[in-house]
Amino acid sequence: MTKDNLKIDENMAAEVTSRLDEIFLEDDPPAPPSRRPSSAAPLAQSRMAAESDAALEFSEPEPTSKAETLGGAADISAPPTSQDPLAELNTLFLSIDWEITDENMTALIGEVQKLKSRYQNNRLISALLDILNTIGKYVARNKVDSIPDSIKLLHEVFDSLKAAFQSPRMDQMAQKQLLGQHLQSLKRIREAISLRGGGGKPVAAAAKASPRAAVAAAGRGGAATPLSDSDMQRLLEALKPMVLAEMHKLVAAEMKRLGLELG
Amino acid sequence: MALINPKKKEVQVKLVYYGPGRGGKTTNLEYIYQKFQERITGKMTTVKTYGDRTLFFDFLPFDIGVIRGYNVKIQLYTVPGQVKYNATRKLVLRGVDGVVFVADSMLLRRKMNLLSLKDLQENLASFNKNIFTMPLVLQYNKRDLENQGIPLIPIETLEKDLNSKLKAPFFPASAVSGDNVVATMKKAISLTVASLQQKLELKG
Repeated sequence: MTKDNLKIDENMAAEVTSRLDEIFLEDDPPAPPSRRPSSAAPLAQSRMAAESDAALEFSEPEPTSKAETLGGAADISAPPTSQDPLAELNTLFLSIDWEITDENMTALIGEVQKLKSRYQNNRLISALLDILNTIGKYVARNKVDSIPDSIKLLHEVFDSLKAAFQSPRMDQMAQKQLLGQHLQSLKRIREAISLRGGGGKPVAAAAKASPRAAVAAAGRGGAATPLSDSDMQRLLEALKPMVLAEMHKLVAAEMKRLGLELG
Repeated sequence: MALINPKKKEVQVKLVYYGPGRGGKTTNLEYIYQKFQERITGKMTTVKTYGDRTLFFDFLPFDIGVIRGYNVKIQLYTVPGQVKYNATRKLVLRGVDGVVFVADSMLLRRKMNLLSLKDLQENLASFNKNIFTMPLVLQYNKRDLENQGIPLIPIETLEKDLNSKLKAPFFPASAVSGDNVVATMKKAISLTVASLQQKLELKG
């Protein structure tokens, strides 16, 4: 390949820019870059000068007490609202965005269980935490082999959890819809896992004892296989009473309201 | 090196959006696609497969027309941000001509930005490419979150953390609202084409 073949001359870059301006003309002119090199050459030169630094450090601040934290770690790790009960979980979710490690996942599941015992009287929050616990443990076991939708569901359920905390008086219908959606997603994941093929004997054994046990056993360490079709079915069964209870409550409230209206 | 086909009179330029997970790479491409889909011929595609060969990226190709007798095709890619998808990131980086590094401005993501930039450097090195000579534009995304009271990393700190040695052009941006999304892309394409031109002159 020679430049004769391509015949790109110095005006080509200018033409490209002009063409891009034509195609991507926006209503509002964008702000100029904060540092705009006049051409690629000075940029290359400045970079090449910097290249003499054998080790690229990107000016990372010195670690402090905790391993691999930045100089400003105190600021970085401090949750913006310390009163937020989900602050720790939020931080852990941000961590797994970057890397799904045993450490991160163990901490995440531990925090979920802590919240579960704290909010066991709140049906919606409790059910959402159950789903988080189950999917979290599946992801913890399978990591890179997890079905991508399982990680997506993990985030979606966490978003719902945040919404539940922000709207403690969420109406029954909305609660029902929320849980219903997540259960559907769970079901789809179960089907996807089933298509991949998997065992999950520890869960099956626990499920024989009780559906609750199935939920707990779903993520117990040691089982390297994903949930089987029947295990996931039991898991859904375990969550169903919570949804049904919410529905009954909703119907009862409606009946009561109707009764009052009719006198 | 860009894929150049003298017979077909075609140049393909590959631009990769790199950065930490959930930093806004896909949102950048989605904004471009949604806003300009009437003017660009390509279609945005998300590629997903499973298992050890996990691929998980977005792809947006478009033509910018004939320039100097050559049909110039731009291909925008995103890579998955999560560490676990490093194999995919490396795969997507193969044959890259230019990079947009999308940094997350949220205070909580400061370390992730650093790790991701180092990861970019390492992965480029595995293809014998140097981050200092690679056409690169930095985008400091999610600046709009400041209005919602979410603590952000000041631009000066982002510059110090990420760009003190690279000296690349940078844009504060909001991929959600589209602020500086197109400007970032245009700058990256211009730099990449200029770099390509330089390389060809050296070869010639």
